[in-house]
Amino acid sequence: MVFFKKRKKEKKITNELPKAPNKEDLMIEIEKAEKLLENANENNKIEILNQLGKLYFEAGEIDQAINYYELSISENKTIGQANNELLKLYNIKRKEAIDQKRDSDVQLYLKKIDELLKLSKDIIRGKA
Amino acid sequence: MSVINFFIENILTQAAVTIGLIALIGLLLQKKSFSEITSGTFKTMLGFLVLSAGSGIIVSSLTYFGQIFSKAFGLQGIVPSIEAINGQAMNDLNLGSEIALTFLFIFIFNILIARFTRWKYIFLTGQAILWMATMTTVFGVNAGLKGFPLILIGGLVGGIFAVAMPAIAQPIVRKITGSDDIALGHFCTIGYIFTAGVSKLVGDKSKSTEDFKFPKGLEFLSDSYVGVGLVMIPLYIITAAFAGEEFASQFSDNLNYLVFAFIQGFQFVVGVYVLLSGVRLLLAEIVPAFRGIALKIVPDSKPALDCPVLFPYAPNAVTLGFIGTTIGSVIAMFALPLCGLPMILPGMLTNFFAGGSAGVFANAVGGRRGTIISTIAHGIFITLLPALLVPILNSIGFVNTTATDVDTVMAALLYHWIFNPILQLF
Repeated sequence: MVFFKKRKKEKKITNELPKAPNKEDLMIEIEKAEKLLENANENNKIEILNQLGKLYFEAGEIDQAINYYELSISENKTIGQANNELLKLYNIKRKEAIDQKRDSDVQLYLKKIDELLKLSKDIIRGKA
Repeated sequence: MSVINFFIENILTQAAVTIGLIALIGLLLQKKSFSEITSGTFKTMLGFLVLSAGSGIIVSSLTYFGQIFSKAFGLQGIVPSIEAINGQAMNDLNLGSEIALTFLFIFIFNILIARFTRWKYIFLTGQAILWMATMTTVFGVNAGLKGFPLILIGGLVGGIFAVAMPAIAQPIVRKITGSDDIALGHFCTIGYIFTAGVSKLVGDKSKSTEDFKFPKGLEFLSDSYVGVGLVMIPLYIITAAFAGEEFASQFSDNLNYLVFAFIQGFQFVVGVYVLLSGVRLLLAEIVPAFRGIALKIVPDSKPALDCPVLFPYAPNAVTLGFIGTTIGSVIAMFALPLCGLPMILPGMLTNFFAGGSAGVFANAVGGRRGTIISTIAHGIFITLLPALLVPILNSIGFVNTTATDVDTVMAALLYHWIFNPILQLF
């Protein structure tokens, strides 16, 4: 019975690509953030990179979102928003690759998920 | 006919060959190039042989430890290590081929269940499936099963666990991640649910573990091998000291008995390291092949990933969970012998991975207070269950060791408590 109850909940939570009715507004915001990034310093760079990842995701540009989150993680190996968002985005790309029967991309994103899990493990252990 | 018999009796009984064949089929199905197939098959077989070497080192170290421990304290000291169980089962009990084939059948049943039911979980943690295959095979043989039924039933039981464990964890995983796309594939789930239950009862969700700054400097304990070494090496030395020079010196030739104990403690860590390196090599080719096939057959699947998937959501809870579980396992180490059970030493590998994830579960439903109390209870729980297995494992021929990951322990108890009596009827 528990599973039947939960099933209703499952339907509510989805990670479908966000609808982007205001894509133009988003692109303006992205442009602003990219300009900020050019002059970013150590204090705000990670924040801007994560913001760009978020904005590109909202604009439905998954590849660009991944690029910025990956950059954020490579610059600052701590556990946080970028890890969780990247996992979500890799999973979306993996699903896309399955739908489009691109086997090598399926393996590519599974491998990226593996690497992300390893990184989480290493960060917690103070190794990264 | 004689060629087929030769093949079955001399080739398929060799675990390294069976495992190599499974990898070969996986690589062929992925249409890999000739060179990739050759090197992949070779590396898989090499992985098995490295695993065997690691197992040999562990068994030799544990045999010594068992002898000095019973002399020193008059009771059996059990080292919880699913790696040691796997190594001994594959080598000393000659169950390598059966375990490899059960491993394959767990994959197959997992795909079938996910394909034809609404539980779409595909368990992607290969190492955990290997541990499950080990336990279902060992306990299946103990229940009197052999040949194809042994592998088929092991595959079915393991396949059900591979779907059921992510499914029962998912309501809390959803709460932790805020998403339903990723699931948890780790065979310690019964422990996590137990922890979450205790945490809900005693906790206060409003104060999260993540709301305060956690002191740094404990990371070195979370390093698997350092953690295992820091527990095992002093334990070996203390035990040798209690066993006394006269008794302990018989193992050490001309070397001082305490120095010998120190080296043997180290040897245990080396054995775990070598064995796990072998497991990684062994699974490196098989798992990607399976994943590709499984995800193709079940396109709307939910991947069940290894436990670090939860760590970024509550890093403080991971550390608290590790500490709480270690405290609980130390309490249980002293308490269980008082109840007539064997003494189970703290298993630092499990304490980190299972303890850390249990912490994240506990925090999600019971906050800081819930995490502290329930992870201590988790440490006791994950020590108690393996303790129940010890008499059975001893009778099968395992040397001073018991399993760790509680879902695999539960599968073993299921065989022993349910399948065993049923099979005795026939």
